[in-house]
Amino acid sequence: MTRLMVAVLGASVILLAVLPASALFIFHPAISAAIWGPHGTAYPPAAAYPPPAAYAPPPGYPPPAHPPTVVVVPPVGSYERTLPANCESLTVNSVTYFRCGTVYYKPTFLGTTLMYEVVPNPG
Amino acid sequence: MLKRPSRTFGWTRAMLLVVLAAFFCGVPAPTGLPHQAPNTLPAAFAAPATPPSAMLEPLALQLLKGMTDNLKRATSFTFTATTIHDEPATTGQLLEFYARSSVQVSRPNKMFIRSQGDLVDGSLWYDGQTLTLLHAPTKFYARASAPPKLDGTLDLLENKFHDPLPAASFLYSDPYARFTKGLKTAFFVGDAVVAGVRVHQLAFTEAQADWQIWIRDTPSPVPTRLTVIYKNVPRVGSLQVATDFTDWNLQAQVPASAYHFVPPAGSKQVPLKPR
Repeated sequence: MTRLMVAVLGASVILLAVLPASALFIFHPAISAAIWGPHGTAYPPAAAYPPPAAYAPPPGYPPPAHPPTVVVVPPVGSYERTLPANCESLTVNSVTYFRCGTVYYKPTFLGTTLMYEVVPNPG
Repeated sequence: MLKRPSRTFGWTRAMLLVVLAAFFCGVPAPTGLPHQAPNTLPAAFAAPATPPSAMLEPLALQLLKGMTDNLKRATSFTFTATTIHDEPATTGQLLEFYARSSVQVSRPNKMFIRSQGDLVDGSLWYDGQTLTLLHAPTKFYARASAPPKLDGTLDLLENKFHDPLPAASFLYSDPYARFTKGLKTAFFVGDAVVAGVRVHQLAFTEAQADWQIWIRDTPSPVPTRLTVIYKNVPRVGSLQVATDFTDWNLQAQVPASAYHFVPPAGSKQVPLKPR
């Protein structure tokens, strides 16, 4: 008997030490009622709701067309941090420009950072 | 028949010991908080929940001044600054970008900085008359006339170019005035050992930024780290800029040619606009 008593005592002390005190509250009648229902039993689940039939589009509806790709041309006076690919440099009145497709860039320091200003065709 | 070995220690005694150990080590806290080690934080954390409007601990200001006086006395000095700064991506997520700068200053009117990092690769010269910026990969450079003293040029970089150098405050002729302007709180956090060096950690707040500085505890005190958290930043709320300082030389012999810009071969001058 002694061993059993000591074991029960030990287990309960360890349990108390390990669990936060708030765990004791689950045994409070008001809280357990909120979890388990007023009669102390698990709240009965609502009648199983039949899953809806898989949604089917009306017959003959065409799939959406792939949206066309739009090329955005940066506005004149804006700045880019880096040049796009496929640029060639040109010099007009000893000023260096870059032509990338149809857009012209002029290297300019904006504060202490080198940027590329979008400019109209200098040539 | 083998005799079962007698357990002189006893199962009962073992359980009793476990019970006692659990009792002394695992006493449940009445509030349900996990048991933690006794509070070893410095006294500064015992500050009241609502501090007064200006709480400036004299020790913090004294240690700060010791460092700024030391820098003020140095006429030619060099150091390396490694910065990690936040910048918001277009998605709003804060990204961190790295830069390493080696700085050379000769008071009152000369400065050279070489910076390399994620978003920067270039140099800056100031020779008392002209500010020159060079972008190393493209060799594009720009020049602008600059004020006659270093203080004026640092103001120009901050106000007109909106590109303040992370270490700028240390380079002014009166760094203490710069650091203490608009201070709301200042306190000494404690001492730490960083990379084998004993440092003092100080914490300060202002209207737009909270910052902490670690200062080496030596007869020649220099900063080892400065972390600034900018507040009230549009869209993201706050941004952090953290700078580590290394390789301080307060008796540097910097030749005058280091501050004089010579256009490298293949370089081209481009315009310079304020930001």
